[in-house]
Amino acid sequence: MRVPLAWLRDYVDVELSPAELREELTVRGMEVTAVEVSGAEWSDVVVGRLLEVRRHPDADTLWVTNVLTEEGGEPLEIVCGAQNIAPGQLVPVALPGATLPGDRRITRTKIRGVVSNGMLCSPRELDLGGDADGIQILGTNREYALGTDLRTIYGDVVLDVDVKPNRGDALSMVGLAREVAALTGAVLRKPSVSLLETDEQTSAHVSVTIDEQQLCPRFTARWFSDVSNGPSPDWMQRRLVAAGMRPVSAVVDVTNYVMHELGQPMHAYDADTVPDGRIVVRRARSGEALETIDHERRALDEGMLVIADGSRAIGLAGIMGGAETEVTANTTRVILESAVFHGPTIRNTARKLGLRSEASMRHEKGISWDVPRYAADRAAQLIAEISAASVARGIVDNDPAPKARRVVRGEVARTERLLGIPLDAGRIGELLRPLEFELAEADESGTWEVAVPPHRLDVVEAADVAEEIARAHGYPLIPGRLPRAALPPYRADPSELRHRVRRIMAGLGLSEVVTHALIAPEDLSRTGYDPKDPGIVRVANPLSEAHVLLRPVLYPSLLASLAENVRQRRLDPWIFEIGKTYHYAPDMRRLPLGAETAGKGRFEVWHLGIALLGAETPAAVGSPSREADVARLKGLIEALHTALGAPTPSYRAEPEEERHPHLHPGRAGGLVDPDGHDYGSLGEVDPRIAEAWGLPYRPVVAAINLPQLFALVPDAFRVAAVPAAQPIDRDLAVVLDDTTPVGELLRLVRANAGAMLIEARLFDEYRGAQVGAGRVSYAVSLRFQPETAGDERAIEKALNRIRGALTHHLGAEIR
Amino acid sequence: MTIEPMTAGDLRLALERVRTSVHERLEGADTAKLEALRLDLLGRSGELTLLLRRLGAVDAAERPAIGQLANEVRREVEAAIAERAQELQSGDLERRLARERIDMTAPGVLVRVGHLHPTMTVERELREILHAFGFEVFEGPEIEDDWWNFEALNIPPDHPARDLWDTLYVAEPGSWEAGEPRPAEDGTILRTHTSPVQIRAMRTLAPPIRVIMPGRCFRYEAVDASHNFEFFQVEGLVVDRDTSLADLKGMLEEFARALYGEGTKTRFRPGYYPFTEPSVAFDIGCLVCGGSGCAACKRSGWMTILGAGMVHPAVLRNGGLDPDEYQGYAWGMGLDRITLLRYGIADLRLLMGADLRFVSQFSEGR
Repeated sequence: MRVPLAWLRDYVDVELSPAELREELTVRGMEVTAVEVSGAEWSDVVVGRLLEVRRHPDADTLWVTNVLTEEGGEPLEIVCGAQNIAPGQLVPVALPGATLPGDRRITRTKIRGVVSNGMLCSPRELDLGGDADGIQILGTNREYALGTDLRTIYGDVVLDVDVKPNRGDALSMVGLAREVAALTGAVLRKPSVSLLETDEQTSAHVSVTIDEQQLCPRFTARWFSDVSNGPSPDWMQRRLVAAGMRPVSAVVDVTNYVMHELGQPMHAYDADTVPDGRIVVRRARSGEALETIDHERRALDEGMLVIADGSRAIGLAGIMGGAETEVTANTTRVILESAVFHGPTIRNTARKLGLRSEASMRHEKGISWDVPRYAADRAAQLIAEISAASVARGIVDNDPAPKARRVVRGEVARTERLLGIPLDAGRIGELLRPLEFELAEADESGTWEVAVPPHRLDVVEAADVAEEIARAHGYPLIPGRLPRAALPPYRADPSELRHRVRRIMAGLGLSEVVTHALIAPEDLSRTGYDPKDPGIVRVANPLSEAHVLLRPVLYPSLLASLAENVRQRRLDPWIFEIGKTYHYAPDMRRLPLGAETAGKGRFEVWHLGIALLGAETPAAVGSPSREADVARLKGLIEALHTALGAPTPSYRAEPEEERHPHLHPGRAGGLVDPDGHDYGSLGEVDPRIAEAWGLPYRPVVAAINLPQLFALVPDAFRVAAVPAAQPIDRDLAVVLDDTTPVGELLRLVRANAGAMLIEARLFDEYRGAQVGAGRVSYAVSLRFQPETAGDERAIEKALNRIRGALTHHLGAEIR
Repeated sequence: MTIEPMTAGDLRLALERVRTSVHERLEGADTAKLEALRLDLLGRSGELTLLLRRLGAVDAAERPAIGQLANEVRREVEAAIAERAQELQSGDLERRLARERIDMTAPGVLVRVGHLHPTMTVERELREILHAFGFEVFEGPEIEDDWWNFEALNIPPDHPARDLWDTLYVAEPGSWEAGEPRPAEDGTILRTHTSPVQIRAMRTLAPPIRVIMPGRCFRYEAVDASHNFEFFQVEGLVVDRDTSLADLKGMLEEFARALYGEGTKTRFRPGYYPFTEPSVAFDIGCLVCGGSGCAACKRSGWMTILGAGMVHPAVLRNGGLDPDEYQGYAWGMGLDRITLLRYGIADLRLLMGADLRFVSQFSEGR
């Protein structure tokens, strides 16, 4: 809320500087987010009267003026280019030596041969807003004395206060003045109302029927005649503008003025447009419509509360009035409404219609029962003063009976324990009194009881009062206590392994990216996946078409990440991302390992995505580049496993019917754990998909299910004694059908070698005349670690087992 | 093999030829060539060996003199070869080393170095700092529903405070495909903050509870230099019997010093959240201007880094705890904002993307 300091001072004396006030209010919970000072940059700008305006002798668009800035003084000759000036006007004059916003200094200068002794100022030159074409006209009569420093007219400090949603009571000048009074010990001066009422009875002209008592707990109305609804006075307009409102007319400006003053939204109806002055507060009827004063036609429904006359809706309760009953310049009789409506209903309606207003915002946050009548009387006084209206006697009010204050109880010891400061009942009373809370009772047993002031709708239980006590005590004065607490039992950190994977991957030369979880349907289709898959989680109100669904796989993100770098001419991105995939499977009986879920068939699984494009390192003298390929990708994945302590993965080729659609049909594989379960996919990107993403070369990508990977990492390592015996190396050469997957060869080798095998590495492959057509020769290097030196026999046995298995299962010919 | 008879003169001539040519033939020979030469001269069918075999066919009178010559030549050849071998061992190595000189000013062959993303690095750092204060990590889902995200946190439907969290709603299954996406009837949404994990932690763990809850959040929010619709938060929660507002203050002050340095100025002031009471906003002295006031802190000298407060009794109840018995505090902070402040990053949008020109600027540091 914008709070002009000069306005605030009507209700409380402020001796603090704006900077001090900012700090004090902020540490009390009324955060001042900005302090605007208008006029601080002006000096020597004064009120002057135009005596004469004549054409510049040498310029068609310029004027030469005579301006008097001192009664009985000498007029100044000033050249001016604006077209809205005329003799008699009061205007702001920047004298020679004056400064204006933007460090602009005014000097006596010659303009086309005529000396100009200063400058007439436009609103923009004064930083008052508005257009620069015209001079700011201050009046045409005797509004201001000549020579008055402009700062005393327009200069002000405006605080921008971020009033929290629970403090609707502070959305007004008086509400904030109350806070200022409480914190400085100054006296709050609420506007006193004295009304001169006529003998006309309000009740003769206005009747109010409330069909929905729950949605409208209080409704008050006043009636005015002889209204002359011209513009409101300059001082009121200036205050409204400073507070961020647009002046409209005297009556409307008064309602806005009082809304800002007391926090009570009000509405004025042209009484002649409301038959018999009959007002009904009811729910809108289905199919009903209303043209609001912004001339939009609004379709209403039964969830909305309206103000109606005998037959039709004439206003959206608490939000905006109707166009047909709006007050105009010709209005002479007025019905003024000042009411409390049900906050959630107002909020819901305003949201549905996209029509949040200053009024609806205040109703949403709640208005105390005691405000409407006070505000109606205050507005009546102002309307009478500024538009010469007659105020009818009395007020229509559905619920005039005063209400008892809410009483909240608590225990001193409990409050002390919550806040960590020493308290007793007396101290509590002392702290709360300036905030208008009354300590109703404090008994021996250490219980306190306070009566809550009516405007504090937010204070309902002991913790709320505790916050008031803390605010009054001062948050800065609460002694910070060094961390101490009963420590909970140890729990393993679920994010630890993910962070280890990050560091391992970076150590392997890959860079980490973090991208959006929300992606576009096109991202999926471009990657070969169906965006209409019912297993995808989508957003009902996406911010843009680019972020509609939660990624069910990481591949689109990975390819997009490569593409983003290619667009920036970085042709060799090697990256990884750790992120979740998101799924909807309402019929799934058991969730996948490690899935996180809030239920309702939706779940999330952490994945590691890897994408490599282009050379591992650029070609350099003496070191040819090595391009990313499936083998390199596998090497990185194996290195990750080794670093984590997980067993080396096996691979399988993905059969066509199970192939991940973004992968090359001949270069698509799965990661298989020792139990035969798939836990990742890897391969080369299908060239058509790579092209669709604008990727050159042959990108390779992988995604690994992290909970499954982590399940392979043993909880603890058991370190075997390092044997004294030297390792023994043996080579094995076999000839196989060349359709035999080499992974199967290695699997059989490992499965049959026994515990002594510590490494099996493929080191040669040969196809050709010496082995015959359709055959392939592989050489495998095996390293054994015997328990004791010279345990050759055990190694021979292991080799025989391997040879036997290869012969039996693969029809291998051992060489 | 037959041995062609030779005259004594021819034999003498042949021996002399070997003698005079040997040095020339050895000239420049490397180890392999030397061995080949040795075999050519002294091997079983070597040149000199064959000549010596012919001695028997020479006139007896001539034989002693030629025999002596032959022995001399043989010794000389052997000596020359040995000498050359010796030479090779020392001189050749030196020459080889000289030949092997490289340009030591040339750069190394590039080894790829990976860079870690700053947001995730800051998450890890926060985790480590807070681990030292006894906090452990607890995680929850990103797809939540209205109850966990709002109602359990004391934010009923149509509460004005809901405006603090503009929400992305998960679509009713099938509604998007039908061209009319609408919010899921079961109330599923994308979590707007990590606070629902508080409820999950309270329901899973028994007091004393001391956890941090990092994770990705979503809001219906326009993107600019300081806002994104996806971002990361870290939530903290302490629940036991007597943890007070004063403990919260002390904890946050220590935390700020750990994160931003020993001399960090802090400000503890009232805030507002429906799920805490009393609520707190926590500021640090502006990292840009040091407190004198600048555009970054809107001339206030302070930067708000987190919101906090004492857990609201209703929230404790929804977490399955008795508010008469237990109390505690919670805080939530934007990881992205902390990352921006820490590294002086001007635009939050840089944090969500893959441009390696950004990520490559981050190294392990100290």
